[in-house]
Amino acid sequence: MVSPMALLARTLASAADTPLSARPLHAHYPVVPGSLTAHLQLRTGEVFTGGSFGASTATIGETVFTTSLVGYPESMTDPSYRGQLLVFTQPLIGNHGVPRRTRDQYGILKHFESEKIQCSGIVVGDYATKYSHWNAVESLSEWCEREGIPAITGVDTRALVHILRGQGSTLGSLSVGAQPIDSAKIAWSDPNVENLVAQASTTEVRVFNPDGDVHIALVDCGAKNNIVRSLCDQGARVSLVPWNYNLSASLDSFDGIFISNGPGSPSHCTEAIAQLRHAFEVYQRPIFGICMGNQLMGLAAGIDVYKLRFGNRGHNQPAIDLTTGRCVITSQNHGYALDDSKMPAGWDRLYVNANDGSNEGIRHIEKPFRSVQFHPEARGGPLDTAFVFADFVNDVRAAKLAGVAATAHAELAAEPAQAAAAAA
Amino acid sequence: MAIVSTFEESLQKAIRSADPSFAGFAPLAGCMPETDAELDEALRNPTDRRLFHLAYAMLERNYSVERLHELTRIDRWFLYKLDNICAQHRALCDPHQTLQTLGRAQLEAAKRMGFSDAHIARLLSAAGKAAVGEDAVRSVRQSFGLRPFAKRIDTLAGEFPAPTNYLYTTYNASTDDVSFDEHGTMVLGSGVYRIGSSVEFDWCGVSAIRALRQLGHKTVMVNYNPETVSTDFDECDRLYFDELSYERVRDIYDMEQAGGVIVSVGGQLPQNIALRLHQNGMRVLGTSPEKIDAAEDRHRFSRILDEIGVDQPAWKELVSVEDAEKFAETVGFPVLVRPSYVLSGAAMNVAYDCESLRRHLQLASDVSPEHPVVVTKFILGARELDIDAVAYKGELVVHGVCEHIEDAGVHSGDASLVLPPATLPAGVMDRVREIGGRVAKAFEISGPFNMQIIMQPADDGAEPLLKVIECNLRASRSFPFVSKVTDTNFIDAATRAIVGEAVPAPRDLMQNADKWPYTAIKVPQFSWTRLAGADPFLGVEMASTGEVACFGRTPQEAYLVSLLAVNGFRLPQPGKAVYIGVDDLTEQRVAQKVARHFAQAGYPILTDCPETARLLGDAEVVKFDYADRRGMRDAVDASKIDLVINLAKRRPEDKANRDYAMRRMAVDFGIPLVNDQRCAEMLVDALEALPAGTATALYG
Repeated sequence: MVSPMALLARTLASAADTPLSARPLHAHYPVVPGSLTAHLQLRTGEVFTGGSFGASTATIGETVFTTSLVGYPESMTDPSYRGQLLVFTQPLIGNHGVPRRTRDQYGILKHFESEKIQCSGIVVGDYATKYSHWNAVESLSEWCEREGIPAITGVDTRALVHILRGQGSTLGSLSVGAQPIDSAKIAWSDPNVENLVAQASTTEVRVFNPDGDVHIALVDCGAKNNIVRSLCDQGARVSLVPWNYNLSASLDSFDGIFISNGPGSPSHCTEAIAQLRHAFEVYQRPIFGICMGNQLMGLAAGIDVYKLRFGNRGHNQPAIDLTTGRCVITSQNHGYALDDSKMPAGWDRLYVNANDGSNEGIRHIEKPFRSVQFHPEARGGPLDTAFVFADFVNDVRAAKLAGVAATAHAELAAEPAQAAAAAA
Repeated sequence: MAIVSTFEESLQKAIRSADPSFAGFAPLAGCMPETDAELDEALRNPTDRRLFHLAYAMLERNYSVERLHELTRIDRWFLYKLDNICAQHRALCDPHQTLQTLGRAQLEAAKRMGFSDAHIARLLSAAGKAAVGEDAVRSVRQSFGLRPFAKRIDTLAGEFPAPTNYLYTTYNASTDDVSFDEHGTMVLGSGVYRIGSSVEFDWCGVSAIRALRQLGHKTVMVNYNPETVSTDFDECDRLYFDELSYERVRDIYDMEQAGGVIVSVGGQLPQNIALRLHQNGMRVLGTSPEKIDAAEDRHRFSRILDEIGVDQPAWKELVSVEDAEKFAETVGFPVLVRPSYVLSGAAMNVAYDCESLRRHLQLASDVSPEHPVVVTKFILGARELDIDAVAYKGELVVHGVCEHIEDAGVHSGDASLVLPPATLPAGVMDRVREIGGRVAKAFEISGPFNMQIIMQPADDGAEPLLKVIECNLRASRSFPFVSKVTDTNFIDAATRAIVGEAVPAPRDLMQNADKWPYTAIKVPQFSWTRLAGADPFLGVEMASTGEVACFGRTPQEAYLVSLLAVNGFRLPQPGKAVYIGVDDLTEQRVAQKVARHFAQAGYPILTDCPETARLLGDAEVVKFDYADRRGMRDAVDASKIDLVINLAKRRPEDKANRDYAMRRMAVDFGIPLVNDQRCAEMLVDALEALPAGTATALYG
């Protein structure tokens, strides 16, 4: 049942540029004889029938779209897409197949952002049945089948985006079979009610680049491989710790703390938020957050979080650095955002989205705590903001060289120096 | 350019847009080498035809993607996509596949692959199957409810509301991005730019849209050429960046439930589908397509001229080669051979004897196989007039008359146009207007039209004869020139006449033309250097790629400044030489006048043979060894030639011809070339009209 408000919102959003039809859309695609048929069914009644090119299974997820033109292997293995049916608005998908599972010097997969496909299913306009790339070892279809992920092609993704834009990200069912599933019989369940971060996070501490000169705790809420790599590349030793790791007990052992991206709603991560709140009180070394990290730091600082209607997912999201006025083009993937209309004492906005004005980052006014909503590690997307890793690790290194104590209680001598700096 | 969300549909659309005679990704006559070796060689070398060699190799010779990749080094991804098209092609060609057995899914799959109705019809009619027409495929398609969807082009996949009016159609979709409640007036654009159909028709299309909007009409533009202004979406209410084919225009017309369609401002492309649109119930605005057809059809056109008492050169529609020869001998060579329904004189040729007549007839019937070929008497040494006009319900509204500097026989697109005419005997201007009026009435013209009239001096000093050689019931390439010189937008008037609203009162713009304080001249810009081996020769087939127009107080001044504005033309520097060539048809008087002028101005006169040297008086013979490509540069530099004037009138049969060699030498070595005797004379007159001593300031 769609609420009247939702219907109104949908009407308003689509009135501007899309003709409305009385009945929910049922779009057909002439599936090649001998191939399997797949159906994407939205909870709101729309059905897209197309060709199946993934696993012959059925799944339910939040239907979200990304406007990225490149990087489907990276997007599909991005843990932030966990629980979601990923719609690619780029119509031609599968062109370069799936790359080999090469690992870099840190033991991290070079071409994937995690060990497996994270999204629940994929929806594309025109799947390339044959790929062409020097580094490909299998087709997108073979990969999906192997990992049990359903996939549908022949969908008018532009029409689908119009629907999602109008009514917001909607639960969808992706199934393979001659006929769509009777909508009444679908057991709709919203993946966002689960703690997806807990599912995506590591359960044990893992160390990368053990010879690094500074030691960073990377809180894994579903970290993309390239975050780990980016920190290692800056010379840091990275300890990937579970999302609910007891940081308070070991603040001394880390020269800096980094909170990763992750899937779903940040509101489930109460343990991580509590850890951060404590760290904000006592920790004196740099803390940085990306995406989910931005939201958790915001929540810990006392900022509210809300769900965006259809999220920001793509590789060309403009974010304005409020300290310089400079606009950076960023890679993004998030469905929730910080409500930065009221900032708590001691905190300020760092970046804002130039398209919709949503929050893109926050910073502590005095302490070296900052975070961004976008993905400076890209993969895929522009590398314009990769400098944040260098800046962060340099800050960490400088603090270490200056002998900054982990917590204010440990070395009171540090306080007068800081106070003088603040006064200056 | 074609916009679609899949490679296959997009490519096939783009191929068809490049030339309506291309069916899509399919083998093409002339691109089907017999041996593997020849085919492999064609595939190895990227040319504008390689796509068709690929289609032939894949469909007729069963080359594998792997083999094609090895030969072409085209990424396999593209070849796989082409292979997808081929699979569909083969399915439609299957002996058991007929229109009757074609299911909805199969037809939709073919449409999603970008096959046109006409192409599908052709494949369903493949060897051994009953012939199927395009309209039959169309009606089956419509019975399945299959039509393209209209999608909007915005910058970000529909992520944000973007109410642009920039649209394309595709079968790879499930919904329309727009609703169809404006019922606008459609204007068909110019399509592809090529020699003979270029930005002038875009100006016409845009001017038509602006006029319609001023009249309060909603407008729908259809065009697919990204370099046009008509595909700027802020010019119209709706822009369909789409094919100008009968199929797609009709689809868009039906979807939009358009109020009518204008076919007479986009050049020949829209004109060619006008009759079918009309016969299938679409409201073609302005002059009736039946009349357009009558004017395009040489036979019917000539008959109508006879009926209304308008003179024309002796003509005959070809029935057989023998007939054509008999006709040519009766009226006397030379004769002009021309197919119907072509722009820019494609395959139009002057035959001076039986042998060249036979050759040109073959060429003409190859170019336009569905339309008759007409042979007319070609009048030597006559003047040619260009008339651009607008009529409303058969009455002239405005008209402009330009005179060619060149003799009749040079394509009007390559000719230098003088407005107002400088050398018309008294009374001719009124007679031209009279002819224009009669033609407008006979064809019940509402909209733009263009005529070429030959002015043939009468033997006995009587009034010259005026013979109509060509008439097109559409805007012509000189509409922008005439509009700008007369400060009267002819297309604005034409558009009002087409829709029958606020039509301006008839006005004779040429009435006091002899009293205008200025003359404007439009001269052609050629790109011979870009056409390797082409003969820089003016003939009935158009070759220029651009134009330059300038105003002057006198025709001579206007001509000189126009010529100096042409890219690549400059006056010879002092101390350099002028190279002059003639053939047996050149007027000796002109050659001598030109030589005398440059000799008196202090330039050594050079020529290529002793006979010409004798003709020109004191000229030195300089011969080049054209075969010695290495030595040519030094030889040309040593000769100090800085201007080539070739006054030959015969189109050479082969490249051994010395006039061809002289012209090509000029072009290849960046030496300015004058290749027409009237233009050469005009240049000399213009230089002599300059106040003493001022010419030096103009030297390149």
